[in-house]
Amino acid sequence: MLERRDFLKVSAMAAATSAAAAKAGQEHHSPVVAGGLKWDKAPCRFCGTGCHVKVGVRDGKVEAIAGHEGADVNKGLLCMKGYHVGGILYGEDRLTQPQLRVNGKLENITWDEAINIMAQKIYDNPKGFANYGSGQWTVPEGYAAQKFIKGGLSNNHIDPNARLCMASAVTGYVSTYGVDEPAGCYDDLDVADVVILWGNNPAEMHPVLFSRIIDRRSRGETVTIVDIGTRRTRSTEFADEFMEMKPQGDMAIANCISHYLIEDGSYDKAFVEKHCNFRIDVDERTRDLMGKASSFEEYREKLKPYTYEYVSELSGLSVEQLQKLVGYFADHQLKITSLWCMGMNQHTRGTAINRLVHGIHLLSGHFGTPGNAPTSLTGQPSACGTAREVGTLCHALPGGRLVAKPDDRADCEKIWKLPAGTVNPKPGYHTVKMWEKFCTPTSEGGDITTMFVQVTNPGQTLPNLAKLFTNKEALKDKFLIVSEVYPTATTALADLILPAAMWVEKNGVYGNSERRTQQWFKMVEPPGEAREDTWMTLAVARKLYDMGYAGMKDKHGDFLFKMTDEGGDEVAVWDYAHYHDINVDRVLYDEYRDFTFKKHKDLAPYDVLAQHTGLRWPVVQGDDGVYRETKFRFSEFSDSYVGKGKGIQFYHSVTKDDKAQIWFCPYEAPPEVPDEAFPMWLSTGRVIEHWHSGTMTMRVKELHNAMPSAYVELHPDDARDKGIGNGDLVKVVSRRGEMVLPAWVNGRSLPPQGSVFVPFFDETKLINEVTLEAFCPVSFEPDYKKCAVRIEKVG
Amino acid sequence: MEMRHSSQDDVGNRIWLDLEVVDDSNVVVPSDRTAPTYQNIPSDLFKNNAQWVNHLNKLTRVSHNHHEMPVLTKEEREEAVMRRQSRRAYDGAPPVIPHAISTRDTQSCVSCHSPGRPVLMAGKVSPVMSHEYLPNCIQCHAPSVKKDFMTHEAMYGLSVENVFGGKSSAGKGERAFAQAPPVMPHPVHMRQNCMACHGEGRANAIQTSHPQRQNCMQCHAVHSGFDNRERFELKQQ
Repeated sequence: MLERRDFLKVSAMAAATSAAAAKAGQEHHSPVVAGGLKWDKAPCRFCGTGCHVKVGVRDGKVEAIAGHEGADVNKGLLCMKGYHVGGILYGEDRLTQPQLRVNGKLENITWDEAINIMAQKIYDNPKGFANYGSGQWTVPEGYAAQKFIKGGLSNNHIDPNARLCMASAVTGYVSTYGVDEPAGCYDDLDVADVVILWGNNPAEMHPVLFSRIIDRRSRGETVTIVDIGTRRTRSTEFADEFMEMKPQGDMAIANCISHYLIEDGSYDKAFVEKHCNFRIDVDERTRDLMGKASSFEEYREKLKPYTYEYVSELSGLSVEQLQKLVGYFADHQLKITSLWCMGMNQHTRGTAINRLVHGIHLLSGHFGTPGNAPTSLTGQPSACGTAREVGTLCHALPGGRLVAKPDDRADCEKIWKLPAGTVNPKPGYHTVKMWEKFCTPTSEGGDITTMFVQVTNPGQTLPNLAKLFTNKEALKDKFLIVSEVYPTATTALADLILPAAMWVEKNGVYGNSERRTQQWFKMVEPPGEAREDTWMTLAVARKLYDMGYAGMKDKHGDFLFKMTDEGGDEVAVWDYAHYHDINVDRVLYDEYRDFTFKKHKDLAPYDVLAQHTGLRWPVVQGDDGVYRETKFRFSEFSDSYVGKGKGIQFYHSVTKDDKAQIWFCPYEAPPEVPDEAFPMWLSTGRVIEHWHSGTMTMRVKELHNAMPSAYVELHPDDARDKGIGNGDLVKVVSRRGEMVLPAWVNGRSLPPQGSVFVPFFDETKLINEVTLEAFCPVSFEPDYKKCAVRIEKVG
Repeated sequence: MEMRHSSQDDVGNRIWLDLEVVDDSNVVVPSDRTAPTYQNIPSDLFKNNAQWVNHLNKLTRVSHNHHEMPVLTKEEREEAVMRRQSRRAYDGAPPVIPHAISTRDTQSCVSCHSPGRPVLMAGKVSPVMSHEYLPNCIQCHAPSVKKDFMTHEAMYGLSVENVFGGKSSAGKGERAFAQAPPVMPHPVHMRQNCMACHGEGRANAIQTSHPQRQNCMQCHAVHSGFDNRERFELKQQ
């Protein structure tokens, strides 16, 4: 009997043979026509998993989506957001015209006018200009913005929304390994024996990755999932163990594990001796990135208080549960992968808890072999690729460099052909500070007067919205420029709105959670006057150049963004009529690629990337000319940069001795805890149906119908005590604000007594008016998971 | 693939249904029965439980005589297809869930939607998964029933119309000539179990006339025109 698979192979081969002949000599592929649609590949627009999809286009419109079966990440599978990602382009209220707010009303203007206004604002006060960017920026978009502000304006006030999600992961990686991003990859999920979830909900947030783990069970494999969380979620339903944790208890749990690994003698002595140093904070009060060197004895001593009894008290876990965790790590034969996301990152001691989990893996030797990995899962599709790797942060430069380092600044000045001393050595404002300054009167030290927001929705997603966003409304001399695709909470206060092209309406490159860079080509036209974000940056830069702003010329007198065609002639890419004469993405990407080699984050050339469903860096060219990706970083069997015979080599070690740092960080309580006036914990987060602030997904029928509005989830006993039934309106009140929401009892998740959960996707219920902007002192990332509220039944 | 009927079930060979009803009023069962010896088994009375009454031939069965299948009118056919399409953003999208579900777990889905367990409820048969078992159903299949979500209707968040037009299904498959088996007018990705849509109890618009045949792809060809995989060789390592 001929199997279906064989049939498919036969038919594909027949098609391939005829097509291959036609294709010989072509540099990159052309889309496939099937079922009346033209199909081309792209990474999904949504989460950091980075599934690859195929987009079916007919008559200039996206009509269907399919999972890409050739993609390593998702192997043909998607999730409900991915299947419906085609719909995000077609909401009826798509922004199609540049608009200026005049006397409170938005009026349509031309692009020339819009660019002139923006350039004038920057020209008048370049030091007071800030750019709030995004982990959903493509790599070329982020790179253009980075070069413009740090190279062109010598201004370091550029920070991405990734500050609100991944900053603690970054500082955790850098202070442990000396360089950012996971050493492992998704392949770890295919072979791990134990997967520990540290306060995240991947069944809803990284669904395709989660399926990759649980599908193994259908094939007869045993994989143990341990869910350490503050409430029961969909992920808990698949877990073997649920360990209910008090907020902030993660720090105590981590220290407890490390403590007993040492006391029981079950830590990996050989691994620690060979590959690890120890580090602690400089003193009791200082919390910075590098701390100071410590010793094994000091580390051991500092862990002594973290006994089972003490930690059980702090964290809420039982002694048995803690012993079980210790038992897993004590077993050197087990392959253990730890996964985390916002529970550990959006944390007032986010850097610390990240360091501690890395520390457990290093201490117990669960590192560097497939299945043994501490892996932070990225939330956004290109927080890694753009924000972290291109360095669009107030203190960073491309390729893992820092504004504070003279050598790094010199590298940028060299590649950007700028005079020495152009790049400003002083870090700019991080996100919370940037918005605080923007929303403070200029006379009171609010020295940011013009804010340019691209590809993100701070009016909904910043914490403590009154302080960090809505106060702007009263300040008449502050100018907010927003590049967007739909009307949002942010455009509601914008002075200038620029309509943007989105996803497959433009070329792009994204980088996902496992160091995989993925490229796509434009497939459909953007609507109306919507234009690429990269073009906006180039156009403003050129306008400033025309106005005589010195920073827009490089040291040879050329335009900062001079781009030439194959013949060597300059192309006027700032003129939209000529923007598509060349592939601007490729020009920017190729220039950026030069930055990536210093920290061994080598990217593949653009054309190589275009032929693949993504490649994991470092991508190294072998002697045979073939570019090969690296699956496991720092491990000799997989990473070609590891020296021969070294086994595992942390070649960017901060102590310059090829060793990683195991940190001790003490448990520290959160700044706001429940008390008499506000007796409950509030945690915020997401649901599978909606992406972040819902600007895209709430406009897709299937996703909107599945989850039409936000709610507050509470424990049935708490509901009963207050006489609250399902659907009743409840007011959630904090020291900062209040929000009325319908109650959902026994809904999708089960918060424990004394705690409530609210998702933040609903723009009619901005829960961030209630949240707290306290942040980690090292990463500056705010904590959306813990603040104190009280709930009242309404009416 | 299950739900196959054996060749014994073809019309004319339904042995067990052709039994007569036995009048048991005059059968005497000895009260001192012992088990028969092997020698006596062939002739012993115990084999047919005489007191059993057989009503099997009174049960309604779905007719296997598919030449008797009602021919749908054009409107009925269109209605069946539209009903199906209304649950899918485009042809090939995972259908949304048209009924209330337990929003937290997924294990309950398979109690009605796995092979061999179709359930007849409210006049509808629960469809079998068309694809292989994947544990996290609600990862791809979105719930769609707003009303069950929560009773408070006044605050339904953002509501904007969307003009996305999903690719519709291709309609009937081509036939080489009048009696030829039609080519499959759709891709086969995630459609490993043909009977999920073409089996008994499915919308008549696409129900097969011969469910007893198991090797569908022996006669029904895949159409490479629906194969949207890339045609060039991806350089793998």
